Amino acid sequence: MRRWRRIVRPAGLLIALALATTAVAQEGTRPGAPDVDPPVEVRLAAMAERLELARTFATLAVFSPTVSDQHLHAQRVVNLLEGTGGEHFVERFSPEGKVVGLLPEARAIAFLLSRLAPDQGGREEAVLAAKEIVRFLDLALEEGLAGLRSRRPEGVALSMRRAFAFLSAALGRAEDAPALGGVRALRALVVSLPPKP
Amino acid sequence: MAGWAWRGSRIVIGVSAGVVLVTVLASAVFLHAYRRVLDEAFQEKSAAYVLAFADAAHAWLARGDVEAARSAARFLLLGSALYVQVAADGAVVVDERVPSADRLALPAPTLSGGNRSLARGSGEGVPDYLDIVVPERDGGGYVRLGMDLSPVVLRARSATLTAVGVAVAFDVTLLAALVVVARRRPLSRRASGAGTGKLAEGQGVERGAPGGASPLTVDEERKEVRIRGRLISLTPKQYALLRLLSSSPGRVFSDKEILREVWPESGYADAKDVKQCVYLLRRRMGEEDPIGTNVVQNVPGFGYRLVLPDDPELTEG
Repeated sequence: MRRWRRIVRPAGLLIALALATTAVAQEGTRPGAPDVDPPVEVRLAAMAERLELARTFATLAVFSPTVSDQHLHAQRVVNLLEGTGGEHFVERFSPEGKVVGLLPEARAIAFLLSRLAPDQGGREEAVLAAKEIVRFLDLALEEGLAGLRSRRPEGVALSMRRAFAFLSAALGRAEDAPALGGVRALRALVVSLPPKP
Repeated sequence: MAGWAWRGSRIVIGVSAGVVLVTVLASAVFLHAYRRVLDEAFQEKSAAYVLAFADAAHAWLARGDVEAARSAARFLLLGSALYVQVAADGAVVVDERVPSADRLALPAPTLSGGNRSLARGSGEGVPDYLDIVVPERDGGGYVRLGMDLSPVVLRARSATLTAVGVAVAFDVTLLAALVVVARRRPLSRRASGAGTGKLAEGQGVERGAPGGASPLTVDEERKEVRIRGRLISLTPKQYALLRLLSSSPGRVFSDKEILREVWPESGYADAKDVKQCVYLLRRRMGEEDPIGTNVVQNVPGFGYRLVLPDDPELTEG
């Protein structure tokens, strides 16, 4: 019996270790998932920058003189939204190399905020704002993909105008109500959250 | 007959030439207008594109992020842009070009009144391009893009091919219709009795008043037929059949043609009626003159033709 325990215990430990390693590895390889976890407000600031960049390319897609130019910029918007490893990510149109996707990042932040202590002030508002951001980004991605599918310049321009509008809504202004779903407003809220009781 | 045919051919040739000329001219005018519309649309869109990029570029430069402007400029080169220049305070801080535009001389732009400038350009090894310069709203900087004009040229070329294809199809259809009408017209004219008796001259059939030297005379005014001077009394259908066959002696008329001309109003007449009518006509003509029996001959599988009484093929039967 002892002998049997001597064999089973290390084996169990090894299996548990292997499972834990696999889980961590899977988490790390999830499309667009960040490698490190800086504070949420820093991640939100970085998101705001990437959102501005995505809006710039959505605007360029609207005004591009040819359909191929429109698709070029629409693809860049999709790349920024999905991030490296995303389903529609095309590396050739991502000059910055590895990109942390806006959508996976927003989902990760929403998850992090939902894990705050239930009695933490402003928690529910923050979670609501983060979920709204995810919805706006989802809609922007949908429009970006519709723009990529369209072969007519007017069709691409219309989709990219909509994408621009959803990206703008996801960015918002710092002084907006967080429930409207803007990254800047959420950041302002997160910064102002009271310390844990 | 030959005179009319020559006149008809001349008309067909004249109309054909006119149609071709008109379609060529119309295509040229259309393409010129289309190319202009394409050019203008491309210019307008390109100017808006550069303006959108200029806004972003000036914002990046304002916060000192030259690398962002450079990266975006490089990205534009993946599309229709051949070169991208961004200048701030009189100095060019971003100058990105596709390899073929590397040696392109780009003199400093002269911007009058702070307005954007558009100019066409070309260079060795570089496709024709549109040089667009947008000045900074408040400052000495500008953004300059060279937009490849190849997409416009390609679209114009594909429109040219389409227009030429449509024009050729139109011409061919119209000319085919003209030829068909021209071939049917003499028949209709003769069948309607508009002939003056000169249509079949020189072919052995005299149409008009009797008294000529022809062995077969069809008097369209009196509705009389004479064979070697002897009057033959025919029914209206027999007369119409003989008049049709005599309009072009020797030519084989199919059942369909005969039905169309002799029974124009009847949808029920068929080849049997034609056969019957031919039989009765032969018999009637044979009663007056023995050679009359063989004047209308059957060409098996094709139809019927008129063989003139003085034709060596014709033997008295």
